[in-house]
Amino acid sequence: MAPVDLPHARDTRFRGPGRGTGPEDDLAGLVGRVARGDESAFAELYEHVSGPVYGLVLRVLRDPAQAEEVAQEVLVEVWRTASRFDPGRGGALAWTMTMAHRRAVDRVRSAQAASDREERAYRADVPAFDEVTEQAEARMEAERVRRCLGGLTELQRESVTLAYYGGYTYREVAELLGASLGTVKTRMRDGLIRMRDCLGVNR
Amino acid sequence: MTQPSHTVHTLSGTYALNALDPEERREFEAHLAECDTCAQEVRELRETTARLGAAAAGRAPDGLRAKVLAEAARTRQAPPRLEARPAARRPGPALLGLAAAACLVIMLALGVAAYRADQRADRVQAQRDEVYSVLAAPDARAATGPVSTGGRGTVVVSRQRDRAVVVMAGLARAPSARTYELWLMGEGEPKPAGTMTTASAPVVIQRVGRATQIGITVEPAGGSAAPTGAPVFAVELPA
Repeated sequence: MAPVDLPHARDTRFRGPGRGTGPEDDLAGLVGRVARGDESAFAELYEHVSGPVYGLVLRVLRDPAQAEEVAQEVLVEVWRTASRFDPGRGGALAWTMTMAHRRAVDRVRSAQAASDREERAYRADVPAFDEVTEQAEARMEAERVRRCLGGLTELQRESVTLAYYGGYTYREVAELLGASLGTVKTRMRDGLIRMRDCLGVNR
Repeated sequence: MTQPSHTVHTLSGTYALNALDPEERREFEAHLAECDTCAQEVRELRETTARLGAAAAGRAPDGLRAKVLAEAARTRQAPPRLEARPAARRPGPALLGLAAAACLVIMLALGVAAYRADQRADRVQAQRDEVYSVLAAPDARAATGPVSTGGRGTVVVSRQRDRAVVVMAGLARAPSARTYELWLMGEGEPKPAGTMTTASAPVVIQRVGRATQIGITVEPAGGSAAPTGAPVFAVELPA
């Protein structure tokens, strides 16, 4: 596996909807039922996605009360906009997690939350990430992700994790790392491409 | 499809990490609509970031499930998009106006029906015509966002018609002796743009001008000349 640095020249096969029978397809099927107003399908979907959604939002926001509030918004948004989910454009988990990450990051970047966060940085009662990682499945995924992150250069890894788990913009990441904006942008892309290949993300 | 320039293309990672500034994000999304290679790469990188997210999975608080299910049960679902990509520039502007309108028609029907009950029929008709003239405008664009006290708001703006329609869903009734007040924001001080106490009817805002944002605050009944509190709702107006 060679890191891909060229900005183009990759085969762009179209990933059709509903192919195979992996967990992703089950999730996509559930979202389809949710789109038709099926509340029991939504309850089932909740079981699959609430842990990842809450965990990610908590990781970014650090404050359990705010995280619960944002997770609730995200999950209700999943219900509300299920009809907009298009399996031809990616998996149901990615769709949900994108929404979760956006909401978390919006919250971080709103002025009020930003000052709260600064204030909290002085407090020591932030729950550690590992304390909240309870589910076995999540531990395995966390282990895989950790291993793959270990395969990145330090600058790639820091750029990716500060942006994703820290909720920082690339300008803030550049400031934190003392790197140029251009460097940070390319490290983010190179880092994610390596992660994609390491994690075996479907193309 | 245009061949992406190197600099634009390298933004795919930053975009997938939600680490772009709002303006750069809009620019990149406009580019995405025209660049299939970039769109495919973003799809893959989003699958990748989702894995990073899933690795942070934790146990959701016990009370969350009941709250989410209860709120879903009283939340109206959005109708499917009738068009593949509202961000794309390819279809004529009239089509885009229609797509935005389609998203709102049902909500509006509800709002207009409620409105009819306490207004004279001719005023209702005039109001309805005005609403539809904005929605059907060739350059109509929609933006939506949450209300901090619960519910959501959707704004459709037509720069040509110089008007905007605001529709709120799930908005709590304003506290007694208080009202929701809408504001046009942009250059200079926020300009008052009408009041409402419930979400029962769409509000048409005249003379949008060059406002870049619409916001709502809670004000003493009758409204204020300038906002006195923090907005409970604010969305960027599409250009």
